[in-house]
Amino acid sequence: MKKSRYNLFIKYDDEKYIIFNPLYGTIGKLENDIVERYINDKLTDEETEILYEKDIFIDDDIDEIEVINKGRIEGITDTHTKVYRIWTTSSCNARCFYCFECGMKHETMTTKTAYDVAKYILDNINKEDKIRIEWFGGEPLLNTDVMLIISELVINKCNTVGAKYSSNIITNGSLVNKKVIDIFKDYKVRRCQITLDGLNEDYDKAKNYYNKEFNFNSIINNIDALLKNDINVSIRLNYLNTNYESLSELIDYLHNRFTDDKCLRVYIYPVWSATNDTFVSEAHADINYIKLIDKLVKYKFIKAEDVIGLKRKVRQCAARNINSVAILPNGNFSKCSEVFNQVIGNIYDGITDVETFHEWTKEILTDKCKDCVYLPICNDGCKASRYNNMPTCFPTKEIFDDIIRWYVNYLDEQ
Amino acid sequence: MEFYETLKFACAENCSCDDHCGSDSWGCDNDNEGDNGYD
Repeated sequence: MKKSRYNLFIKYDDEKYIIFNPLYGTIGKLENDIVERYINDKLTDEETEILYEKDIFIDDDIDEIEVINKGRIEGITDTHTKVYRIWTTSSCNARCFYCFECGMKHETMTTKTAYDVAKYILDNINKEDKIRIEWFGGEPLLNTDVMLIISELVINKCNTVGAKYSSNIITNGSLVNKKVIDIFKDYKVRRCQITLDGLNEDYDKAKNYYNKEFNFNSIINNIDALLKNDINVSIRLNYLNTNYESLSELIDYLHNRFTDDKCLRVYIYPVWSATNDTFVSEAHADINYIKLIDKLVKYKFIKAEDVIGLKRKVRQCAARNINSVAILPNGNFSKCSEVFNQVIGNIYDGITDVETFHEWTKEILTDKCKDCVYLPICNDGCKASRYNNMPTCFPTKEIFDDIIRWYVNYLDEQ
Repeated sequence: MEFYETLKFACAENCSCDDHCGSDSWGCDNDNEGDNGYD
């Protein structure tokens, strides 16, 4: 019997510690003297047995790195998972000050390229595949024509060969109308991710639309229309250190406007800056971030267990998967939309930069992550952030202890 | 000693919810009756 390498002890109060093991999901409170005896290997047999049942102690022959690698490598090598993040255009009708595509050449996918993109995808669809298309931009709804072409061909092929299909879109929501909603319904776009940066003028200022007819109220009305048509909407709240009050009011507003709508999820995420290679927020997140999480959970916009830091990450993102690529408007590939300048191939020639492709899909853990106690949570971190010289760990690492304390208090209140 | 219910929530799909982009991809989608949005 040995100690799990992922036992985390977080001070709860003067008398107790919280014990949390993200690999096995164990969470509880231990008295100070038990923690001291744990550290000094002086636990009683009875105490050791209880902790063994909770996976704080594990069998000697368990290799926990191997357990983590198993899921991670399955995610990399899964030949049935095929995720395509497709730019219909790199143009946008908004000018968010933090956009990571700032300076990107504006290109719009042509009809011919759309057919060629579809052909590339079709040639690689097999029975039992799980095909996922993520519509991306720019603002993807500026070019719905190519969505129709690609969707129709791919859905038909999936139906013919018995592959599963899903689709979602990352959009600012400004161009949603009846025609767009019909497209979503007809072409199985089941979820929209729409970002809100604040309430009313705070949102308008952050988005800075060219056309001022697009504003907070028009976007909220469009979200309402999507929800009424049973299209799932994920509202992403971009958190900066400076917009706590506005986001707090916004969450109240969303609660009043969309109470208990089963198609709505609202989550919060720290904003990164594209312009100076650092966070817009000076910290990943701070204590106000937790106050907002608390509100989102209480309003049932997210589940408490879904909060970043609490859940184990079994696989990495789709960019690490051998079959998944981001497809630019001209048909070029990058592995991840965040590193769109790193072209690794195209729809005509496939992967051409094999060395970079292997770097993205390699199965070996990064040295820095190998011995980290948070490995079950981040599972080797974000690859794109390494190329962009951004922080590579999960965004709430700096307030991890506070999140765990918040979660325990939440459980105690239930 | 006092333990809570074991956390079972885990991203089992290729998910980017806590990566640099923070995209709310299907991997964390537990509100779709477990089908992760696929047909």
